[in-house]
Amino acid sequence: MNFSGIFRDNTLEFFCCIIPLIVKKPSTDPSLETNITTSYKSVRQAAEALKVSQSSLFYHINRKNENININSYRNRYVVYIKRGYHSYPATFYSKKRLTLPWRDKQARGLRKYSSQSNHNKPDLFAYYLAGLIEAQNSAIIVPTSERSKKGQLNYPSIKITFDS
Amino acid sequence: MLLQKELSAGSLSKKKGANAYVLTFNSRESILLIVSLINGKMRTPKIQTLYTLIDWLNLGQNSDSSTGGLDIKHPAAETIVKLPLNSEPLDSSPWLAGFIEGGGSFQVRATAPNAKNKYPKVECRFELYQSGTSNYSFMSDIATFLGSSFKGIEIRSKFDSPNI
Repeated sequence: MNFSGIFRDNTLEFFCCIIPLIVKKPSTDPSLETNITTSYKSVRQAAEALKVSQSSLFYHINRKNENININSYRNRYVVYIKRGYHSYPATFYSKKRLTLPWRDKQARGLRKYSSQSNHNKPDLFAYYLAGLIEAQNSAIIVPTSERSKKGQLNYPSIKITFDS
Repeated sequence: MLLQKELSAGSLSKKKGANAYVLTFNSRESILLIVSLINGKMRTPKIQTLYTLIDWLNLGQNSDSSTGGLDIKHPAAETIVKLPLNSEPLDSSPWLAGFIEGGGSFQVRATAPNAKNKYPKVECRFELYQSGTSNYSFMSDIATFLGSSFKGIEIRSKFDSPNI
C-alpha cells in the first residue's frame, strides 16, 4: 500500500482522529474542566470562538505544562490550529473567573509578609509604612465620585513624597 | 526605590519644579496591600482618610460581586474591617521612624562671628512639621515622649490656613 499517498490526502482527518486520543488524558486536577473543541485556523480565531479576548488567555502550543499552576485557572481548552496541511494542538488556560487577578497579587503580597512573620519583620515594616503615610509629605487620595465628568472611572491613590 | 522593591508596586516620578520624588500607588492590588498592612497601625487623624478609602474599596468589591467577579462562596470574606487608632507606646514600633522620615527634618545652622556675637554659633535642630489643628494631641504625645517642648505656630500662607 502507498501510505505516503494516504497521509498526503488525509492529513487533517488523520490528526483529527489521532490527536483527541492523545489529549484526552485524564486530568490530574479533577476540578479543572477540560474542553476539547474543534479545529481553528489561527490562535486569534480560537480565542474569538471561545468568546474571550486573546490577551486574557494563556496558551501553550505543544509544550509540557510544568510551569503552569493549574489551580489558578478554571477552564482548559484544547484546540487544533490548522496551518495548511498541518495541524497541531494548542492548550488554552482561561483565568479563574471567581478570583480576580488583583486578589491573586494581593494574596501573594500578603503571603510574602506572612511567611516572614517568624522574624517579626512584616509588622515592623507595616508600622514604618503607616508612619510614613501619616506624615505631612504623604497623601491618601480618595475620589469623591465614581466617574469623572468625562465618564472615566476614578481610582484612589496613595502618594508619598520624598524631598531633600 | 526600596519601598517600591519591598512592596513590588508603585511608580516613582520626579516632582516638577522641586528636588523631590513622588512614589505613587495607583493599582488596586497595591492599595489593598498597603491598606491591609497599615490598617490598625495609624495614630493620627489621617485614619479618617483611610476609613474613606476602605469604604471605597469595600464598595468596589460589593459592586464586583453584583457582576459576578467576587467569590460567591465567601462574599463577606473580602470585606476590609476598619481597625481603630493604635495606642501602643511610641517606642514599641518603628512608626515614629516612618513619621519622621515623612515630616521631620534635621538642621545644622552655623553663624559666623559678628558684631553681636563674638564667637561662632552652631545650632542643631530637629523639627517635626504637621499641618492642621486636629494633629495637636498626638504631636503633643510625641513631644512628651521625646522630652521636648512643643508649640503650635501659626503660619499665614497665601491660603491663610493655620499650621502647627
